[in-house]
Amino acid sequence: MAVSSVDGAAVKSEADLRTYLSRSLLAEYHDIQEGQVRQVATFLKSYLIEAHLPPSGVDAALRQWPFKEVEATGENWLWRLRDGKSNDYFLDARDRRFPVVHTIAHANSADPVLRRLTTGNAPGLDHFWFPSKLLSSRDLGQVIGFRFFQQRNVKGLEEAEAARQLAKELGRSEPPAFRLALTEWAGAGDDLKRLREAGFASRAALDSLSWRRYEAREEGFIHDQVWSNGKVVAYGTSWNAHLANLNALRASYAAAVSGLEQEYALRWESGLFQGEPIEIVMPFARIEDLSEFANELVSGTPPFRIWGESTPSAAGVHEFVGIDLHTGHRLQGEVREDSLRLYLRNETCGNVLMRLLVNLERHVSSEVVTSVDDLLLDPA
Amino acid sequence: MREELRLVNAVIGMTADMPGWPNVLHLQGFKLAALQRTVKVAGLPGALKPEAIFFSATRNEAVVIESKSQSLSEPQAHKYWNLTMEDLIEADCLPGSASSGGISPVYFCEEEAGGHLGPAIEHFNDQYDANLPLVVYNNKQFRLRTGDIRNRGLHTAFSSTLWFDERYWPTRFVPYDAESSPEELLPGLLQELRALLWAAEVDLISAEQLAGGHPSIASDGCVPSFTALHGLPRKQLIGVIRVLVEELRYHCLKNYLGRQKAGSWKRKSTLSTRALQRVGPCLRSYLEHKREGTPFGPVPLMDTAAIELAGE
Repeated sequence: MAVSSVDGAAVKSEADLRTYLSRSLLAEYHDIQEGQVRQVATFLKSYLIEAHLPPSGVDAALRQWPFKEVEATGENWLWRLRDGKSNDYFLDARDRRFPVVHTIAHANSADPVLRRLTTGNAPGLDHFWFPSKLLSSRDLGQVIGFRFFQQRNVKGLEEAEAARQLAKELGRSEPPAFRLALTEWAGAGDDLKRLREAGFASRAALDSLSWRRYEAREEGFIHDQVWSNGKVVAYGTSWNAHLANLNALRASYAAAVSGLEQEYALRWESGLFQGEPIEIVMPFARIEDLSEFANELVSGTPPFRIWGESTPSAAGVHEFVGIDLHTGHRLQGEVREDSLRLYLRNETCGNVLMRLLVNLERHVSSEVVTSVDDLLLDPA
Repeated sequence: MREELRLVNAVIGMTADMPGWPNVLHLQGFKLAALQRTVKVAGLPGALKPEAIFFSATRNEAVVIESKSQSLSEPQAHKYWNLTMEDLIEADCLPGSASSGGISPVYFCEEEAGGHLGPAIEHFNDQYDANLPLVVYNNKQFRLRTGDIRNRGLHTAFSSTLWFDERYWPTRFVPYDAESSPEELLPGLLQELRALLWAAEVDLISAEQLAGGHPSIASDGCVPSFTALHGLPRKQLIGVIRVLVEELRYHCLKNYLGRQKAGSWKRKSTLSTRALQRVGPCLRSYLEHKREGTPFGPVPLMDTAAIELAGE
């Protein structure tokens, strides 16, 4: 049960939702009880989702596991969802393609539920995948923290075998990950820039980035921690600032995804063959075994979720064809020692490229240069 | 991959802005407009069938490419020299917005063939006061061997040699055509089948839809150039796909794809996930048999009569 005295069932409108979620925003999160610090309230969490479904399909997709209850509210874009532990979630589907789910449930409950929703049995639903370039080029206020993550466990990489050996010696199933975090530090923006440009260039995949934003009219603020998987954790005093950040993130992500689909997908249009492949170069990576790497890429398993076949085509090149398990859409490409070329087909959802980029950053090399960098840095 | 198709992919690659690959056609806004289309040249007998036709809407110009091996056909060279935009418009090879404008025919051949073809084209040019260009290529460069490309930007670019890294040679724009082997077609076909089996709303699947796209999944089919193909090549491809799917169904997917009528299949939807799992091993088994030179299953590939006799 969420740590909140507010009844989610009473939420019928946007104003109710704001009141309900703001109480979590304004709560004291910790208290000293019986001589110990205890968490007495949870942060507000907003999960940005990509729904590649027909307009009527969003609520239908939600009417299945992992949610036990789906209830309409007084607004036709707002649904109340309830999981098996009676936690409430609110789906804001004003944007049908890029809806957002808000909850004040504890992350231990909410994260697995949203993970099941976006990577489980509901085809067409995926979460956002913020590549480091897109995330770090947003301006949502003052940067006050960041987290790096890197785990080179993809087969075929030069360093993967050494990492697996270390994991074996440590008695772990997965190689230890590189993690580095800086929180609530006024100079975080400068440090982030320095670290990504210099010493940690190949390991500085952004796991999350935190901003503090002031809302002058309310004399309030929000502290939003935006994760690469589209989860936004908020505390502060301004719901409006949080909403503005969500809208800005959604708008830039939507513009990038739409740009990929409209400018790069290969298709016949007006009598001409339009679109072009997307080149992804990883200057610090060396894929030692192309076959192993390409097979893992199209194995149909997380993190890539592409299912298909790969074959050697020419010296130093492996080709692959597959479908994106998020939508069933087709894509194909070529893998070389330090780069990939991706061909999106006419129907392919642009989210597949975002997922690929984030996972290449996290599991191969965080320094990824693409032919669509302009779109990531300035989507609008 | 056939050399002609390999070249077509290389030149289509030049219409894109891809790191590692020359982008000389992209710089002038050229896009692929037609593949292997029959074109009649006004006043001359017979017809041409260029490998590919490119069109730039911003310049209202076309580039027509022909891949050659060794010998030059003089009647063909006459037709290329006299080809006009009107001929391409008449053959429905250009978008509706095209009007009278410049056209650049270009012969391409592998470098080793250039030793024979180059002098043949030079002789033709001398004899008929023409200036047809020949671009030769190997795995490192494209280079104008003789003649003039009418489009000056392209002439300058190819005259100064276009270098590239062979690993960046694109192959996926048009991975196969009507003359490709079933083996080349199979990965794309399986990809299309996989996408169709994955989509819950697909019920019936026909060979035409596999080739050119199924409306339920908004796909444009397993033949990326299908829209550009007409006449016999189109029919040939559909025929090959029909037989291949029938054979796949018989050997791998009969529990998941029901036979409907000639050239179409009904999806047994409840088992689609298992069917998807079957597609991969099916391809691997096929490739294994191909490597070992043994028939794919009990029925030799492409033997439709045998499929019928097997009681399906």
